[in-house]
Amino acid sequence: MKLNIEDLSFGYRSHVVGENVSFTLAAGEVLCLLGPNGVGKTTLFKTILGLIAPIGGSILADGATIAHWSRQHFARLFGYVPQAQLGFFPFTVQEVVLMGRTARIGLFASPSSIDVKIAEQLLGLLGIEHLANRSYTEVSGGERQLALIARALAQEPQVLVMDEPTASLDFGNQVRVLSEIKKLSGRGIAVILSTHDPDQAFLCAQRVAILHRGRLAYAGAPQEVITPVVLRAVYGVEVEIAKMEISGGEQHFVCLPSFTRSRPPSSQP
Amino acid sequence: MICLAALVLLVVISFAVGRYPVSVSELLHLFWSKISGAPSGLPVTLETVVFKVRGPRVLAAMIVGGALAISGAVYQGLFRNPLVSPDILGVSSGAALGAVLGIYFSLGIFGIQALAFGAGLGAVAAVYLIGTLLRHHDPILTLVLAGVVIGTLLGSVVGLIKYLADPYNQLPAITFWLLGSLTGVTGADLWAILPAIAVGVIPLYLLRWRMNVMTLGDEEAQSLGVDVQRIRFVVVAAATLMTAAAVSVSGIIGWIGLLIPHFARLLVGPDFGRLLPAAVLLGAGYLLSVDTVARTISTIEVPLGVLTAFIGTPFFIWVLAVSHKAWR
Repeated sequence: MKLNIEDLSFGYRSHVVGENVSFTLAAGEVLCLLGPNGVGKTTLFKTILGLIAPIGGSILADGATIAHWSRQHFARLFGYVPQAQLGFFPFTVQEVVLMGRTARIGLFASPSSIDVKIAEQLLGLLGIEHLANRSYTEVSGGERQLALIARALAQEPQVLVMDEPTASLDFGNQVRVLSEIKKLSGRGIAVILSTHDPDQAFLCAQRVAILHRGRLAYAGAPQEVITPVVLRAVYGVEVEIAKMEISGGEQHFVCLPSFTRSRPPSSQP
Repeated sequence: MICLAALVLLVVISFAVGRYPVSVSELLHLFWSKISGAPSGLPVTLETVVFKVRGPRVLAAMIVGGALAISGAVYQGLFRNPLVSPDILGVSSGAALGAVLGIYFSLGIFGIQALAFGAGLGAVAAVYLIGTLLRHHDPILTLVLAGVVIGTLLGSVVGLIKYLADPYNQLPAITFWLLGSLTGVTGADLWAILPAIAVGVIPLYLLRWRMNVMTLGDEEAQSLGVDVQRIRFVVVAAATLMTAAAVSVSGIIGWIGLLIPHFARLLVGPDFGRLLPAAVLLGAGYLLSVDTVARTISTIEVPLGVLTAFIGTPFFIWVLAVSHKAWR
C-alpha cells in the first residue's frame, strides 16, 4: 500500500499544531520522524490513524481517501504502537497481544485458538514469550512496549505507526526493536516511527523527516537530512556527524554531540 | 464450579429457613411432585410458602443481584474506574423519583414499578444526551459528570416529594422503597422484568471481547478497530435496561454493583468472558444470602439497602486490602 499525505493541517479544533505536511510512504519503506518535544509528532500520528480529524489536506491510501473508512478497515491496514501507558485492568500480556486481533474477528467473537497461536508466535518473535501469563500492569515499561509492538503486529497491518517505540527500552531491546523494524520493512510493511535519537534514523530508516515549528522542515535520505546545520537549527545543539567503516566494509554514520558549543534552542534567530 | 455449587446450596438454605421452616426432605418432595405431577401429600400451606412466597423471592434475589453485578462490572470497565457502580449515570436516582412519584400519587404496585423503570431509563437517556451534546470534552468524563449532576437534581426532587408526602401513609412506603426490599415479590413481577434483563444481558455477553478492548481507553480501542461510540451506546443501554428492571422490583440496593465486580475480578481476572458469569453467580449468591438474613434475623424485615451496606463496607475494605492487583 502506498500512503500519500498531501498538504495536511492537523491539530485540535481551532488550535493548529502543524500544517503543510506532505510526504509519501511506499510499501517496505521506513520513515523516521524527528522533532523536539511537544512539536506534535503524536498529534500527526493520530491524525494519520484517523483518531483526530484533519483540519485540512488529505490522506490517501493507494490514491483513495481514507476519511470515511470504518474503524475496522483502518485497524486492518494501520497498526499503531502508542507510547506505553500503564494498563488499567490486569489483563495478561498475552490477552493484550490478542486484543490486536480484534479487527480480524467478528463483532461478537472472541479470539480463537488460531488467534492465540498468532499471539504466541509474536510474543516469541519479540522475545517475551516468558511474560505471556504475567499481568500487563506488573511488567516493566520496556516489556509493555514490546507487548504493544506484538499487539500492533497481531493486526497484520500494511502500515505500522510507532510512537517512540524505543523510548523506554534498554539497549538490548532497542537494538531488537530496530532490527525487527528492518525485518518488517523487508516483508513489505511500511513503517513510520518517531524517535529522539538521530542515530536510530541512520540505523533503520530509508527516509527521515523533521517536524519543526509546525512544518515538515526537512525530509530526505538520512545522510542528507541529519547534518550539523539542521540539528543546530532544530535542537539548538552542536553535533558532528562521523562516518565510520564497520566490519564488512560497510559505511555507517553516527551523530556525536559536541558539548562545549551547544546552546539552548530558544535563542534561535 | 464451586461458585455454582455454593449458589445451589444457598438456594436450598433460603428455601428452608424463615418464619415457616421447611425441611430439606419436604423441599425435595415438593419439587419432585411438581415435576412428576404426583400429589406430594404435604400440607397446602407448605406448598404455598415454597412456591408462591419464597420461590419468587429467591428467584428475584438472584436475578436482581446478578443484574446489578453485571451492570457494575460493565460500567467499571467502560469508565475505567473501580469506584463506578451501576447508578453512576443516574439510573437509580431516576428510578427512585419514578417510584416515589408513584407512591405519592397512590398508584398501584404495578404503576409504581412501571414509573420507576421508565424514569430510570429516562434519567440515563438525559445524561447520555447531555454527554453527546457537549462534544468538545472527554466523552467519558462528560458522561460521568452529567450523571452526577442529574442524579443530584433528581435526589433533591425526591427530597421535595418526601417533604410533601403524607407522613403516616406515604412516607414510610417511600422510605421503605428507597432502602430496598424484596418483600411481596410475585411471580408476575418476575415475568415483567425478565424480558428487559434478557434483552440487556445478551448484547453484553456477545460484546465481551470488544468490551475488553474498550478498557484500554477510546483512542487505543479505536486504533484496534473498535467502533467506540456505537459499542458504548449499546453497552450503556443494555446495562441501564437491566439495572432499571432490577431496581423497579427491589427498590434501591446499593453496594452490589460496586462490590461484586471487584470480588469477581479478583477470582477470575478482568476478561469479560469469565468476569460476567462470575459476577452473575456472585451477585446472585450475595443478594440471596443478604435477603435470607434480612427476613430471618428478626421479627421485622431489615431493609436490604441497610444490610448490604453493613455487610458491604467491611467486605469492601477487605477487598481493597487484598486486591492491589485488581486495578491499577
